[in-house]
Amino acid sequence: MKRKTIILFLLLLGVLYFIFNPSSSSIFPKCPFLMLTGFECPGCGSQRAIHSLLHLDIAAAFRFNALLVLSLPLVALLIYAEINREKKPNFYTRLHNPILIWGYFAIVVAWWIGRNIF
Amino acid sequence: MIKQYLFTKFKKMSYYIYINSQKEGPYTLEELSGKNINADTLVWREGLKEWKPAREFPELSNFIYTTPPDPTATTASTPQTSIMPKTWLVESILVTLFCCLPFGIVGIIEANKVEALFSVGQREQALYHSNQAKKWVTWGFFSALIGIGLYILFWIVIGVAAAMAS
Repeated sequence: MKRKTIILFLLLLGVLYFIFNPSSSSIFPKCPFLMLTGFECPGCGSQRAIHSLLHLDIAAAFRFNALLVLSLPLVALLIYAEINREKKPNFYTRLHNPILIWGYFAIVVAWWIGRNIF
Repeated sequence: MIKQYLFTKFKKMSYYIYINSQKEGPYTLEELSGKNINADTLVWREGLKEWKPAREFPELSNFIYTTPPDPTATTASTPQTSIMPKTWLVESILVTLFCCLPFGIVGIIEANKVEALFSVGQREQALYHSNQAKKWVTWGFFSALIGIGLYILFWIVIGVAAAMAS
């Protein structure tokens, strides 16, 4: 029931982001961190990247937010592990290892700093 | 009185226990009283999401302390077979990527603590940090929602003002 609601909600969002282009349309919220500080956050460009991905323009998506594009396979894997946490506890444990979590954390921080410098 | 109530409430349910690395059951509550379970024995009852130690079942409190624990079963042998608490890692990543706020990053750090504590068998502590991670993810998610709500409200106000001016 809860899962169905989430899927329906995501589909709706998908349609919205497919039709409207966040680059040119002003209906999408701007990043509060960027507005407050003038620096980009790790998630800036995600909305435009999603729009590009839905139009199968991976190169453009990569330019808007490379971290998002590179994270998607990991996110898919983690969601799979999350759904099967009780059925496949060993897979969940193996996937959530310190190298992966710390590694991802380091990439986010490096990405955050790097995108504001270069 | 309360125990009596619990006993009648859970009388017909089936229970499984995890003893000597093996699942045993189904047992009724009555059958369970004859088993050698102690406060740390993992128990599962119909309708539960995961296994829990027997001490967390109020209806079992009658007989968990009446049998001596198995001296050969050390706590070090349990963590590998049990389920890691939810780390909230994927939710933290999504909050980081979509909510524009640093809460997701705190969530990732908490996910790390869950993993680290679970791997050394500190289940209680791992659960605590699982809840912390959940808290940060929820914060990130709802502050983003509030932000979007305010944003929409802002546009409605501008729209109304423009309509009234014209």
